[in-house]
Amino acid sequence: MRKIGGCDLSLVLLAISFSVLFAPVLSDLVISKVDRRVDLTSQHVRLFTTLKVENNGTDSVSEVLLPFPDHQSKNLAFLTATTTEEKGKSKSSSQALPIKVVNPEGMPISLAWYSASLPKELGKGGQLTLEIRAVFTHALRPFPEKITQADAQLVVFQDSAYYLSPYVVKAQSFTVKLPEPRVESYTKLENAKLSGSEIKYGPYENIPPFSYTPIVVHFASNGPFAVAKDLVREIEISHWGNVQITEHYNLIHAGAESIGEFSRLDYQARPYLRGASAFRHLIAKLPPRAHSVYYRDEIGNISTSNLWGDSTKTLLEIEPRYPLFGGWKTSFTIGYGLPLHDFLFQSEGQRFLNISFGSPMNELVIDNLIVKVILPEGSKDITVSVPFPIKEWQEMKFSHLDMVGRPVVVLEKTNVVPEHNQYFQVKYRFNNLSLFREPLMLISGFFFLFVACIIYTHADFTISKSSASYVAKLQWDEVQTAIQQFQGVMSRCLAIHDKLEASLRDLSRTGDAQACKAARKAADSSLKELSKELKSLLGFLQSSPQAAQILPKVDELVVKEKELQEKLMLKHSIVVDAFEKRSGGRDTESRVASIQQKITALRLEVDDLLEVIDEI
Amino acid sequence: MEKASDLMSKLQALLSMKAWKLKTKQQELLIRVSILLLVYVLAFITRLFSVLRYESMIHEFDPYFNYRTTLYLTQNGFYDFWNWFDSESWYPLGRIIGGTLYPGLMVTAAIIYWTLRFLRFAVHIREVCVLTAPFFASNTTLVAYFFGKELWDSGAGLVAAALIAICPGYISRSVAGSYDNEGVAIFALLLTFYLFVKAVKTGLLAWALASAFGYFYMVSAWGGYVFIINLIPLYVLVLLVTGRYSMRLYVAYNCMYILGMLLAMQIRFVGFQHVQSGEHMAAMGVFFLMQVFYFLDWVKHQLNDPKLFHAFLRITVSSAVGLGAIALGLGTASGYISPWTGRFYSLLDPTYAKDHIPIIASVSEHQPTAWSSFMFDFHILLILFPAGLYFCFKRLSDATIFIVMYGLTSMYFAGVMVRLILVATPAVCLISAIAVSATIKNLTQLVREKPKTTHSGSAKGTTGTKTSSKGSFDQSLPFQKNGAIALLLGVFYLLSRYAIHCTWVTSEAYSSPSIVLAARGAHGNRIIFDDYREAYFWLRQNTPPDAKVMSWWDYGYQITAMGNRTVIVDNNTWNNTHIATVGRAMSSYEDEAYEIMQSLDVDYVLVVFGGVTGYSSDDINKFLWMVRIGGGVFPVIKEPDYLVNGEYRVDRGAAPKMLNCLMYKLSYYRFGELTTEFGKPPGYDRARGVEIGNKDVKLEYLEEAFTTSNWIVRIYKVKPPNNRW
Repeated sequence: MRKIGGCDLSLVLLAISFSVLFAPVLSDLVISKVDRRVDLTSQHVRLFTTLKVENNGTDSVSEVLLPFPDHQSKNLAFLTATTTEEKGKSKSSSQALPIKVVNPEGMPISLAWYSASLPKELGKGGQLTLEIRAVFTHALRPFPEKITQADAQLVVFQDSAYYLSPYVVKAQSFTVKLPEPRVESYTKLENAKLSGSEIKYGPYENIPPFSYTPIVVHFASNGPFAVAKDLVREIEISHWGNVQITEHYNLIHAGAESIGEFSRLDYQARPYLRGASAFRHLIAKLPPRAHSVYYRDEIGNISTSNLWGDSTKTLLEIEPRYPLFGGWKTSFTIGYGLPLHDFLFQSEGQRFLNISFGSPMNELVIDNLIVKVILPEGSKDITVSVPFPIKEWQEMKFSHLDMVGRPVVVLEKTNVVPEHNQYFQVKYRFNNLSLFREPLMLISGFFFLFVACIIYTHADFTISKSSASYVAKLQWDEVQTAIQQFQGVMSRCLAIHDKLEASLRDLSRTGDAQACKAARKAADSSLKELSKELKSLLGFLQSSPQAAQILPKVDELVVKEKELQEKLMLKHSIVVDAFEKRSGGRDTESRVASIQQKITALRLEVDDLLEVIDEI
Repeated sequence: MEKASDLMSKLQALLSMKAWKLKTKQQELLIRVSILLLVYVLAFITRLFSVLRYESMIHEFDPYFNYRTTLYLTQNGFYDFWNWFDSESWYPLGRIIGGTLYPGLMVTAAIIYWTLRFLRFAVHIREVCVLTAPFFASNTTLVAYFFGKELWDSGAGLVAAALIAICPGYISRSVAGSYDNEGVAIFALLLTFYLFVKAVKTGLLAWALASAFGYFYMVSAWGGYVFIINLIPLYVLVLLVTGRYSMRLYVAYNCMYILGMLLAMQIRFVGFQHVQSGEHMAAMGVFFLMQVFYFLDWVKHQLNDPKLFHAFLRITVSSAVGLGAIALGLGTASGYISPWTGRFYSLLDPTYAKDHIPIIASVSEHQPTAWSSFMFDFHILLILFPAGLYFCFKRLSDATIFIVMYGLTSMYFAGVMVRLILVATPAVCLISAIAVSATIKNLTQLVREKPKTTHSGSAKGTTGTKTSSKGSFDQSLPFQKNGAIALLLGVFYLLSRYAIHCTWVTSEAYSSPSIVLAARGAHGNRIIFDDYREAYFWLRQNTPPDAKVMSWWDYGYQITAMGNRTVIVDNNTWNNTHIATVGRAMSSYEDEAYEIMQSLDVDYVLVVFGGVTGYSSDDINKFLWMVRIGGGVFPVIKEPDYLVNGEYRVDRGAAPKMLNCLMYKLSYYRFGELTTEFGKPPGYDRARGVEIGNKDVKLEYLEEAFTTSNWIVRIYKVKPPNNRW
């Protein structure tokens, strides 16, 4: 059972090593020194290679070939090469080299070839130092493939002890860095040494081209093997000041599959012994000033998360609903808003979004990443620049109040590692006036609603205009308007009465009898006018059959008002006369008092009647 | 700044001028409309506590089914929904969804959703579902206003709208997230009643037609439509008996019954039941009685001789009753008319379900109502209700007779079953509103008329006889004005207490989703127990898509909706035998249960266990019902085997069968090793407060697959059969 490595794979490797041994030497480049370090502390296998290249031939060389065996190249997620040119003693500048896939002739097919173009041709005897950084995903294979809750997770790493190269390698060494000192086994070659959590192969000298010596390291690794099968990042720009990011994760624990019982008791009691291979939380490093953070899945909010931050970052610690054991899956969505001015800039009339590409979680391997940049409705001339090759197309998305839809730039990339977390740019043109389209739409929508309501209340939708009930309704409407006018006239009359009373009060205060008389005259004339108006209204009410029930009240009111009017005038004249004659005796007072009593009684009755009419 | 303030003051002056210019009538209209608007908004926002406290989520059990079907409806369209055969529930039988549900709620939510989509509001269907019940509660307040206006006056309508907006009896079923049939159905119920009363009052065909459509909506939304189709005939019968028969009634009832029946039969779940089942026979009988009445009326009109008519009346009535009885007897005997269902029986006889249908009796909301819950749900309405009845009797009309009958019958049903408090709530609110409105109106009239009477008292000679009667009344009660003011203050105090009580009840008792449990920690902080969703999401993600999960039927809807896995039984308890099989498996020994589970293709078993957290509504506490329901079909299971001297216990003194049945083993597997409370022995069950009796539980045919962080949900995997050698 515990045999290491698949049989077929070893055979293939053996075949490679034999076939490549007899391949022709490519050029006169010689690698004077190779220093390889592989970091196995996480699920990302990071391989750093330092090459010292020398040109021993006569022709100048413009590219360095970097072959990888197929089983590695299919897991290769990220590859960069930089040169460090040493000019003088302290000055050193590094420069990234363009890398492309090549297919040199006459080479064994089971190798994938990459070539790094040098910034300037390397002449005879020239020297150059290359730093190559490669990141592999899924390069650690769990073995055994199925473990129980109590077992630690063991993984296998395969590589060659010698640097696989089409060139002669003069001196080389290879260091394997492990997460913990616990190593089940490793291929013991000469010069292989295990010290602590590091295995060192080498130094080896003068190795011919295409040398390949498979080595296998079997060690314990309990780091989170969190793999996002799919990750969809939606970046939605609102020119009202927000960049909303929504990330849909589909996670799996890609380590050794868990079999047998899951015991909560054991997991609770000794989580790092019974459940060492499980991971319970992930940390997302969000940009500073992230706000409105949420964490949920298809069936609702997940309450186990923490958020804290400072001026340089916001940290979101999320805990899935359950600890993830090997082979267990989960899916969730996180979302957050970012201030627009941190990410959107303007240049030459164009706007460009400058935002990072990958997931904010650094421990993840993403098998398939889709980034959707949703631009505001009405954006045009969209161009995208991403620092690495990518699949790209455009879509439309309909969201709130959209008529034509928002343009969506979709970017797709497989095998994404944290090294891909680089900034990319989306440039587009957008008219500021388009910003007001949606509010205006809302406003006009409500406007038309109200207009429709107004039209509805004012329009007449009766089908049969000659029916009795319709005619009666029309007549009733007329009567109502007449009564309203009548009420208006009455209230004006009462207002004049009030004025008269006020003039009397003024008289006692100022003693100006003339003004008081003038007020009476004015009141008299206006009351006469009003009574004229009243007459026509009463005439109409009397003629209308609909007003029959209300008419007695109206008539009563008119009579009472007349009476009230007379009494008021009487009172007014008495008071004024008395004032002029300066005969303010008891006699006048008692006369006024009796009139006043009647006036108040009448006034009350008039008010009552007005109320009664009002209620009809 | 100055200019602006100047402008403002001018504007204010203008506004105040305008306001002054409004006629009293317009002012009243303005006040009425704004009160209604406020009540409308209040009814909506008071139901949002659960969203603010927790999140926008679907609550409890049945709403999850409704949500799942609505989702299906919006994704696949109406015809697929109507013909949907759901193979994810009732394995291996399946369920024809279109024929076994009331589609009103789902169609309503889907229409709201499509409308919003059409208006370019990109909402999620979940939000629509969560807010459907509050939205319809708001609409109910409008209907209550119009109903109150029809019964008494617009004041009573306003009070009724305000009372029903916050009445806990209604809120309990219509908070945001409570996406259940009742949320829509109470609106439909009240609308139908209102339209019918309006039809009887006016005798217009249009209103009768509208009430038929209201009835159709009610039938499509909730099984409680049976209440309508029995109450309305009863009401008509009472009107006939009290000599209030009129042409208006004839038009209203016939149109409503015939059209309503035809429309109701379009709902597949009702179908021909509407003319065949015993529950609907009263309506049909009254329909024929109406025709006899009409015929007699006509004959009376033709025959002028009262003696001859009396003889004719006797013959006709006896022959009609005889014919009806024979038809009913024949129909029942031949099986054309199905007898009353158990649910209906249990309403008329509260003890019936306990003896005959344990599955109905096992549901907590089907228990008879306690006094305290009446007080809890109605508060002062309970006192105002009789007062309102008094006012109704004082001003008896066709409409008030209806509300009195509605109130009295629904109060009886509310006493029989807790959940039917809901049906009584609108009636109680309306009748109480009449009491409140009439009282306040009388009191304010007294308060307002007092100064006038003093004036008229001073000028007694001139004033007419109109005020003199009031004046004499006044004189008999010297402190009337003060008394009226005191009483008014008392009424307002009571009403404000009611508002406070309702808000408190809503926030404390009725706004918990019951999926997520919350508790207060030692430091006053809130602790969330989200174990249900943890388990359902685990099922959804980490089991094969075709896995079959066995659990007690309570969790069926949730497992299908949230876990997206096939269940054996769910909350649609249509097949008693199937549920009894599950009950039998749970109460058997492991090896016997394994055979049953093999025959049902069960892959996972899910149990709910509260021993760690002290969560009391878990499966161990429900276990006796499983035994009873299982024993009802399979006599192998006997309840006394699980009891000791008639006592149900899980500790050392428990019955041996209890200690070794599947449910006990699954609940307490490895629980004996866990210390739950400081100072207590390991294996101390906090929900029941005892140390468990069987601490060494060994499973042979099942293995623990998942247990949530607080042990509330435990999932076991059924092992495949051993290899045969």
